[in-house]
Amino acid sequence: MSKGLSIRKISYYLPKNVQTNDQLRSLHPDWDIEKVQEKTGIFQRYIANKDETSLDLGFMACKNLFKEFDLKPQEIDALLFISQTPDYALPPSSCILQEKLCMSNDILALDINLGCSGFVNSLAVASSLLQSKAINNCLILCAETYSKFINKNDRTNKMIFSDASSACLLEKNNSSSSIGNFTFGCDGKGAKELIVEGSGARDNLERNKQELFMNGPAILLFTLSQVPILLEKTLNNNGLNLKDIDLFVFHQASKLVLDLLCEKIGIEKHKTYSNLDKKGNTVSCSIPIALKDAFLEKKLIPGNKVLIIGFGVGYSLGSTIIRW
Amino acid sequence: MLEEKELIEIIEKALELKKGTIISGDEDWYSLWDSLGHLSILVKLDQVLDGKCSNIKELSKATSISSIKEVLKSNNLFKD
Repeated sequence: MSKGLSIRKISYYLPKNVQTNDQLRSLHPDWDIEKVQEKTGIFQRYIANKDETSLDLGFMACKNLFKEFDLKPQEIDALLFISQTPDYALPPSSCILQEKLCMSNDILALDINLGCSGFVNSLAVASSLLQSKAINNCLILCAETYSKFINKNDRTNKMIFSDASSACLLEKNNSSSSIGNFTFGCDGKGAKELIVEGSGARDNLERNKQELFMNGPAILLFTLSQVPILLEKTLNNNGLNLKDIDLFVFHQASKLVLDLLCEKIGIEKHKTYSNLDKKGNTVSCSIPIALKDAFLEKKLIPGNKVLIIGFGVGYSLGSTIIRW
Repeated sequence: MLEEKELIEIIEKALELKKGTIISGDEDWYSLWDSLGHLSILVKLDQVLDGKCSNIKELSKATSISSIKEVLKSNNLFKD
């Protein structure tokens, strides 16, 4: 447990373009929107403009963070940029952002290619760096534009994924906040179940292959089998029981998945937080955005123990318990 | 362990079909359902079989009644 570490400073940015289920109904009259809406719990999603990238969204989230908490870019010691839709294969987006945001030349800038587990696993990296005293703070910037890889007629993915960015500052302070012990998981056998083929050197960057493929049933089975196990390990690693947790913030996959996980693990509904209806599945941004929204809605208050757990593409998982 | 009648009832419920829509013995008659239907079937099966289905990865590829039966049978969860 890392005492005196806080992630209370979170801001986010959502693209201006909102796509509602009513708009989708007009575009695709043959789709059973009501049925999908009932299963996903998603009523609208945000879509980046054609010329708007995850780097642009990330830049805006940082701007919001600096303004909201009166921070100076030069105060940042490290920048972790988590995205699977970077501007380029090289150079790293974090390096471009260092210059765009006028950050110090002394910072550590790293890109991390992870999806739905990206925030939690990056928080683990950042916490270790702070504990090692290499840095005093770390900006964890998640930004994703899955919409760019979704076929316009892909009913499943089009109705789930939403573009977004979140900026979260991990810092040492004198509050009672802390970051608990982490647990991780990975099973590369599932790599092809959620994939954009043609997006890298393996397929010679074939443009006509660059579409998001998700094997929903396989992802569901992975989630239902692995998340409850990882959650139990996280509780054990932190010497806590289910009843000790004030709030559970899962990666916002879909209503179906969250409801099933609660049922399977035995979590009361009021102890979970979800903003799927208005935000959709924002991939790596979903946990920091949910934490911020829960805090704004006073469902998360200082001193609360909140268990966060990310799971998805890879397959990859990560979890910890935060004292807010 | 599931039997034929129960399995068909589970699939009918998951797909929101009227009871008796799927004819027993004609397993591939209703062999096509969309991905949402597939998810619903997996969820219902997992609930009825006390969470045992989520550990059977092959079920994600079982897209007909006969293939679901085969997968469940090989995991001792179905009997003819």
